[in-house]
Amino acid sequence: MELKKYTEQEVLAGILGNSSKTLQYVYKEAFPGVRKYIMSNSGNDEDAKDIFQESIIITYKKLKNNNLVLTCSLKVYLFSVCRLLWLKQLENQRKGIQEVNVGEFVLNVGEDVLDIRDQNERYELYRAHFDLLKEDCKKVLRMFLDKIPLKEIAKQMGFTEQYAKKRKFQCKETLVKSIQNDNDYKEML
Amino acid sequence: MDYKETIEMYLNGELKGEALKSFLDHLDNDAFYMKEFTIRKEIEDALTETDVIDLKNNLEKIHLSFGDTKSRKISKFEFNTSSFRWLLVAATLTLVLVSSAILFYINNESYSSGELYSMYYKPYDSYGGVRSGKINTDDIFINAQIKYDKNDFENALILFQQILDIDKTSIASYFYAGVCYIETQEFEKASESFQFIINHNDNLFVEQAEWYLALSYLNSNQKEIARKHFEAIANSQSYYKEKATEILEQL
Repeated sequence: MELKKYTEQEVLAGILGNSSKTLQYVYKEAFPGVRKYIMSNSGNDEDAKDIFQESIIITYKKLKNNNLVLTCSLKVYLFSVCRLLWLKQLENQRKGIQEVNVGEFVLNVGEDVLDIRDQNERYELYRAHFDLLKEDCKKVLRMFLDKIPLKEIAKQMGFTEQYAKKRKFQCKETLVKSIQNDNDYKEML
Repeated sequence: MDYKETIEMYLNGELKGEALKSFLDHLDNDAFYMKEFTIRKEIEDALTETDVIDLKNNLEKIHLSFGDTKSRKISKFEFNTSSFRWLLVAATLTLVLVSSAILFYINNESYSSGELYSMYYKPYDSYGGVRSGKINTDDIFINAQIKYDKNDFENALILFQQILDIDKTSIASYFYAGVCYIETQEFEKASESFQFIINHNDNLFVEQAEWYLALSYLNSNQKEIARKHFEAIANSQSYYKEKATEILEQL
């Protein structure tokens, strides 16, 4: 970020800590440029919002995994990630690309940005399918994922421990099949 | 045994010894098996990445307060909307569950300041691997973060102090040094670091510093001072608002 006020260290640590004040600052500093670019290149406000938020989530994941390499300001980095994501989205929608108004310095960000974007899309899809499961399935799976002891799960659900495990397996299989049959998922592969 | 059951057993940590070795060999050499494993593993990751869900929720809130969202587009990303609804429900449910669990314990057992502190304290995350084009204090900061990340708080502290000797304005170093002081049980020095950040005020660590300062007072059994700080947090829009409210109910 072309820091007018705060250090890059502060901003990065703030993103990592999901600090509202930091995110508001990042929004204020970096979003207008991204919005202007996307709206000048076949996009609208909603596209700009989706792409910008995705760039922050990607940055967060890279920070968390200790593999963010910054060779420029964070503002330029975010803009470059947004540009790459938007160009790929236009390409996927088979819209012609006659890029205008880049307006800011951009750099090549690693291909892993797209890998993280793809993973985020899959995860959103998985969560949407989870939401469609029967309530008891969601409850059983949630309890297993929260590492609640099997005995407690069985008690809460009114199952035997053996049946609780079996039910968890059945629910997971329902979820896997539902995702595998989804056309969006097939397109993602 | 069905291969799907074997994969689930592995994900549950139930495969041991030869069964585990055989599973891992199979995984390495069978693309179909790997594909089946990957989707099952990813589903679990997707449903447990609550930090990312929290971040998305926070970004949505900030976007609404930031500007207009007039032209809404329906696209292949439409599932985001229903998913977001789920995310909100999930986040709320998680909050209710966690709060209920804490309240359950609170109502059934009495906790000391130290015990309450242990329930709520965890060191702030680091971002040790960030490299930039800058040198000098940035390099020291990166090394400090790497040590911090490995829970080597004593040596991380030495490096954060080195930075502060060179650059008295490094708020991030004050903050991480404060957490290191907590970890090395030097609560008075921790309080000084956090208080400096709060008094400075024009930085991005005030919210975090207020939380860790209150916890420092809690751990040194200065209940009344801790209470005042938790009250201020609970009455603000801080990220730590709910946690501060929970602690106040017990203090």
